[in-house]
Amino acid sequence: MKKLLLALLLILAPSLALAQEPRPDRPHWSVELKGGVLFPDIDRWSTFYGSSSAGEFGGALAYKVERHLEVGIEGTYSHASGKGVQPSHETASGEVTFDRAPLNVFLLGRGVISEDQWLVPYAGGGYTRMFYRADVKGQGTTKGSVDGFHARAGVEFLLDRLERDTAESLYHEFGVHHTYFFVEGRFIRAMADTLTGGSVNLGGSSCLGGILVEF
Amino acid sequence: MKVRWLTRLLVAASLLSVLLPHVALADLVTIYVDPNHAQDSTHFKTIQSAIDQANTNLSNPTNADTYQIQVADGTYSGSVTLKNDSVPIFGTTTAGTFLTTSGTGALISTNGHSNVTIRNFTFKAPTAIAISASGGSGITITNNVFWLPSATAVQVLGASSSSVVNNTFYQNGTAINTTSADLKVDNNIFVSNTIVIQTSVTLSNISYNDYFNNTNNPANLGSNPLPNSVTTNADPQFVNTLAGDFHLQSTSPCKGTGDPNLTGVKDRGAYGGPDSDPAIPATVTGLKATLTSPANPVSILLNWNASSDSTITGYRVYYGVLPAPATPVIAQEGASGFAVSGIGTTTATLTFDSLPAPAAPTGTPVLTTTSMDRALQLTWTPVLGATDYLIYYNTSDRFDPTTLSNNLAIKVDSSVTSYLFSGLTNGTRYTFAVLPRAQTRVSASVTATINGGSQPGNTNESAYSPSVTTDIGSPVDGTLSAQASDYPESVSPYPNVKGTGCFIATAAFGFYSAPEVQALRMFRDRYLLTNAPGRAFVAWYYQHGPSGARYLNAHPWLKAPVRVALFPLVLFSAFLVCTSAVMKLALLMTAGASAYFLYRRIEIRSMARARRVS
Repeated sequence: MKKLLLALLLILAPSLALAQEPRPDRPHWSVELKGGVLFPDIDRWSTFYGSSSAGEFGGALAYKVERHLEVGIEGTYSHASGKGVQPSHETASGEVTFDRAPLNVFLLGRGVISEDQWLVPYAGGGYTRMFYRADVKGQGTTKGSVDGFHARAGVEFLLDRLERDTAESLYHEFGVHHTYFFVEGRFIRAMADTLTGGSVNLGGSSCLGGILVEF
Repeated sequence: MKVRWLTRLLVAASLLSVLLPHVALADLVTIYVDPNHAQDSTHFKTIQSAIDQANTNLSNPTNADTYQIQVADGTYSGSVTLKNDSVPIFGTTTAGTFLTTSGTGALISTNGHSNVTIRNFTFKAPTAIAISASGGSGITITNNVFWLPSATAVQVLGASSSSVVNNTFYQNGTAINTTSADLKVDNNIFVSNTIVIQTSVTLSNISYNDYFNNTNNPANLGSNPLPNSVTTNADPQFVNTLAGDFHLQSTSPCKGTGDPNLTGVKDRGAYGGPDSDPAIPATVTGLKATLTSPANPVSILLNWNASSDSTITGYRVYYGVLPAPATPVIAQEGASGFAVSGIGTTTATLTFDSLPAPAAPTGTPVLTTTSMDRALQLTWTPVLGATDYLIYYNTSDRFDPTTLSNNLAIKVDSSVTSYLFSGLTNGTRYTFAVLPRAQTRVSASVTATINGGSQPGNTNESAYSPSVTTDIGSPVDGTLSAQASDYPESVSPYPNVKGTGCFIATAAFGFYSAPEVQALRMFRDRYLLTNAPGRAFVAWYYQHGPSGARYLNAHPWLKAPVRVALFPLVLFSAFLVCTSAVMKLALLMTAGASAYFLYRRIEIRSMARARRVS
């Protein structure tokens, strides 16, 4: 365990030998492109949609108020197709598509110790507006949006050190400070009323990964 | 002593180990010529490149394989030269593989090679020789069509033990030019050639050829020729010479009169013999069955449309009886599969001396229902011995099984064990029961045949026509299933979340799916939610709309005035979302022009007034 912690610290710590030259400015913006899997927080989801998960993809734009703190907006989209429900029979029937697109406004803290840091942990959360649309083939569409919140945390892997020349070139030609690969977990809670009198969380847990560019 | 035997055994094993792989790997390899196939070791774009590949392979002394060259349907231009013994070359079909050239050389030439077969090509060129074989032996030329006006079709010079069998020669300068006295000329058709056989030797192996309208027939027509003393008109009756279709019509004297020693189709010409193109006539249409005598002897009249395929020579009727009779029954025309001779005949009568009554189906169907939106799916277990099922249904909770005939019924075949009732009313209960029945039934199907055919869907026989069935006598009922009752129900999405709609319009027009509400919703999606001010308005409306809708629902008398007030907006929304850009532009221009003319009118009136005042 001690060895593992030591190894993590070594990875987190900046590498002196390969340290890049100090730059006159720091990055102010970041853009993420991400994709992964959403696990809906809805009972019997797999009964109607055939799987306990659905694909999800999206992106985010953030402004770095400080090096360790950023605010931004994130949008993702998830689509599932399967069967609907006959309320009285309580059986799966018909053809239904269910689309969700949460729009998140977030505040995020990043554990940046050095610009040359291998691993950058981060965590944050914020407000969510969950847009949804359910389409029953031959019957019509139900759509709307509800408020909610979200929390997410993950780790970014600095890609610059894999190809130092490329990283320098990206900086000098396009102003890209860093490029990261990241993985994160996210939870959204956005409760929507149902016609049967209850409410259901249209969010759920997601495992996402992608590329983040700082500039 | 033991050592000597052991040594011999080892030597024999060594020899076998050397020889066996070669023996085991010797195989017949087909090299294909197909311009549409990617080239590899067995596929080539041109005939000559395939011949060259075979030659290269055979030049390897360790290669024990034998080769043949198959040419895909298509048109190939240019001359080719064969390079090996015992490598046959053949088209995929005579009617589809064309060889042509604008030159004067031979389309296919072989010099000094033996045991070569050239078959299933159509040669069509104005000035070239189709096939030139010199030297060697055992050249076989079969199932080809030669159509080379003013030129020589086949030239066999000094190639012994060769044969020209089952070919069609049409309008050639010279059909056959040979110096080989033992050349076999058998089962060919010669039509409108200038010279049929040009030779300086006496040919003694000529038989079963048809000669028609040639300028110079050979002095010796050989054995069994056409014309002969019985058949004086030797016109082979090709289907369409202008279109290059040299198939024989059904009334051709060359049909079925070919060399009996040859296997396959007994026709003379390129479409006879063992290697002729497979001929599958078109499927017979319009088959109908009429029960002309319901009591024994039972009689059923079959009618069908005459086939437009001029190559067919007759029809064949297939029939079967359900359930299978315990004792044989005899149809007057004979066993199932009897032939109807004469292509003009498009009727046949099935007459059965006796048909046994069916036994009641054994078992009771188990019925289940599946509810859907405005539909119910009915499924039941099959019952042994049933030839059909009657599905009874009505909209009551139960019905009296003793008065089944009072209910609606649908009859389905015994192969069907499910039925979808659609177009039903959601929430209405329907009750079903299924009755299996056994019925004596005669099914019949017809095929078109050429010279008797082989089997349906194969050479010289069409596929089965759609079958017709005739019910004989009264059905025997089985046991009625237990009644099943269910109701169709609309489908909701899962989870069944509430939507966000136009609250006031929904309240005013009564329901969410009203066309007026739909128009307003589409207007919202297309023209408001696509821009910031529109979205701001929608947000404001969503905040205050529900309270307005609640007030409207609490005071229903207000709904009519609100509907009237909303009507222009609904109309405007419908116009915007349902019309094309051209329509919108036209309206805009009309409005602009109207405004302009109105302005001008006011202006002129004010000028006139000013003039009067002054």
